[in-house]
Amino acid sequence: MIPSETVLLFLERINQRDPAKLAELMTEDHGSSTRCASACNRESMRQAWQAYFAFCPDYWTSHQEILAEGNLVAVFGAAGGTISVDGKLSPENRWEIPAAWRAVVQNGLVKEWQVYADNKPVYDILAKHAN
Amino acid sequence: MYSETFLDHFKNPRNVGELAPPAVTVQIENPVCGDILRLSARFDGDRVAEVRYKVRGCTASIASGSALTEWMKSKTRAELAALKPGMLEALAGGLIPESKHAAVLCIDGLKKLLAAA
Repeated sequence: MIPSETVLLFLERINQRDPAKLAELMTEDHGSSTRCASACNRESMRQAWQAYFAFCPDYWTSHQEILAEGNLVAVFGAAGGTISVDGKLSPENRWEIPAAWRAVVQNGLVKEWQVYADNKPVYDILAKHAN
Repeated sequence: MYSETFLDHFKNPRNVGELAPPAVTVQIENPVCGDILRLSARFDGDRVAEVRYKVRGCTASIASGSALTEWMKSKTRAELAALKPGMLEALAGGLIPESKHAAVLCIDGLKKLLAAA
């Protein structure tokens, strides 16, 4: 599998919202080497995804363009979902934003993963419930 | 949904900003959701003399960063190193299960700060 195929499979598994299956595609030291603290690894990131899917149970991604140079892959697309409030998914808590992802692939597994997105619509929804 | 303490930290965040060198500043990002935390601290000997933070993140990240920096003042490096996400959640007035990632982001930032200082 070439790096871009690995990344597309990773995005597909994000859309399946199954943290265990997602973790199968991570290297043991998975994280974001320049951005995470030492605590980042496959298990901590599996837990992070699990928490995120609880926060946004219908989280989805879509991709329009994918660029690869060696093991480095960039994806441009969109992300969205509905923020869970008191266990309910209401239309007023739905969001959708442009998003980009940077990934480093090693031996068919994702070693680094980082999303770049302007999350203001998400923050606005959360702030609404704090006011 | 949120405690009074949490809402106070969110609406009136403490220690917002950034310190100039020789203070140490680190940045950390949540690879999953993209939240960004910048944490600055100036040490006087072994203790934190000043601390600031900036966050581009959700309500829980804002409140957790505020609670973290409020707690950090005058703490020793050993005390900082001993802080755990659960303790920070309590300092922030409690976090709902879906927002516990905010405390993890702050603790990761603190670890990175200690490694750099």
